[in-house]
Amino acid sequence: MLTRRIVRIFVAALVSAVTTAGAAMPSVYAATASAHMQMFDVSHDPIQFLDSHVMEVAGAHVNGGCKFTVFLSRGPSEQRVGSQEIGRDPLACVELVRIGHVNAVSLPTGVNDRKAGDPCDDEFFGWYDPFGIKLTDVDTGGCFSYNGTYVGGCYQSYNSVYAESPTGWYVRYRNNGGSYYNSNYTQCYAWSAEQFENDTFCPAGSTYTNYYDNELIMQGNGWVGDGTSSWSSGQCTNLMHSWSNL
Amino acid sequence: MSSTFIAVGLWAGVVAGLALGAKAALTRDRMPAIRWGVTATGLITVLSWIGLFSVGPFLIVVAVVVTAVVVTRGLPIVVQVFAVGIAIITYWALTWGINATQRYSLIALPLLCCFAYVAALLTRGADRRIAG
Repeated sequence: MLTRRIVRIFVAALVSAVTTAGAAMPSVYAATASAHMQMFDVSHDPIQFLDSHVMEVAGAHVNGGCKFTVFLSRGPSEQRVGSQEIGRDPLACVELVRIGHVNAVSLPTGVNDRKAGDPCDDEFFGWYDPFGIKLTDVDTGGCFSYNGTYVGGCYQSYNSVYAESPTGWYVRYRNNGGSYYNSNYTQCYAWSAEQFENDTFCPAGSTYTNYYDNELIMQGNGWVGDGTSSWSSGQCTNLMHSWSNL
Repeated sequence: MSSTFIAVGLWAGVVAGLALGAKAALTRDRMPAIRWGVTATGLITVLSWIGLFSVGPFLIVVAVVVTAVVVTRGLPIVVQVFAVGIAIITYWALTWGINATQRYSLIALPLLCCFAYVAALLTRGADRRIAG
C-alpha cells in the first residue's frame, strides 16, 4: 500500500516535471528547423522588429564553440537595425538570425538614433537566457566626421561591459581597444575584445561568451556598421542566445 | 505554438510553482500536502535548471523551503521551524557558501528534497500509530 502510494506520487511528480519541461523546454530545444538546430525562446528580448527577415549565417568552429559574425549597417538617418539569434546548430556551425529595423523605444540601451551630421553612434551586443535575463553585454560608442568619401576625427567614445555577477558571470579578459582607420581612410573602427566566464552553476563545466572583436564601423559615406564576432563556448550554451542592435 | 506563448508559460510556471508551494505549505492533511509539495518541487526544479544562469539558483530555495515545511507537517512547531532553518542553511551552504558544491547545487538540492519526501512517506505509518 505504502509502496503503491510512493510510486503514484513519484509518477505524478515525474509527469509534472515532464509536463513542465514540455511547456518550457521547447523554447530552447523543440522547434527544430533541422536535425540539430536548437531554437531559442526569444520573445522576452527587449527588441521589437519593425521589419525583418531570417537568414542563415555560417560560423567557424573555434575555441569550443561556433564563432559567428553578423554584419549590420545603417545610414545616417535610418532607423536602428538589429539582429537576433533565433536558432543554432552547434554541429553544422550554423545559426538562424533575424535581421531588420527595430523600434528604438523598446531597447534598453543605445536608443539615440543618429541623424545626418551627428558625430556619434553606438552598437550593442548581448547574451540572454531563456527567461530573457541579460547575462553579458558589450556596448561601444564611437564618434566621427565624414565628407562623403573619407572619415576623420574618429575615436571610441566609450566601451562598457556588463556581467550578471549574482550568478557568477565575470569578465575573464578585456581589451578596451580603441580606434583605427583603414588604409585609405574610408572606414574607421572603434573596437574592443572581451571574454566572459561563468564557472558556477552549470554542472557540466565552465561557460563562456566571447566578443572577438567587437567592432563599430564608421564609414566615409556616413554609414555605420556592426561587425562584431561573438560566440558562446563551453557547457550549457544551449541555455543562451544573443542579439544586437546598431 | 508561438514563442510568446511559450515564454509566458515559462514565467507562468514560476508563478504556478510558487502557488503550488504555498498550497502545499498551507494544506493541513499530510498526504495531500506531500502531493502538492512534490509537484511544486518538481516544477520549480525544472525551471531552476532552465534558468541556471539567472533565476535558477535563487528559485530553488522555494523548493527547499516547501519541502521542509511539508515533510515536517504534524510535528511540533519547534521542529518545523528548526527544519526550515536547517533547509535554508543547507541551501545557502551548497549554493553560495561552498565553492566546490555550487556547480552541483541544482542537482544536490532536489535530490535532498526527494530523500526528504521519501523519508516522510516511510514514516507516515508510524505517525498514524502515534496519533491512534
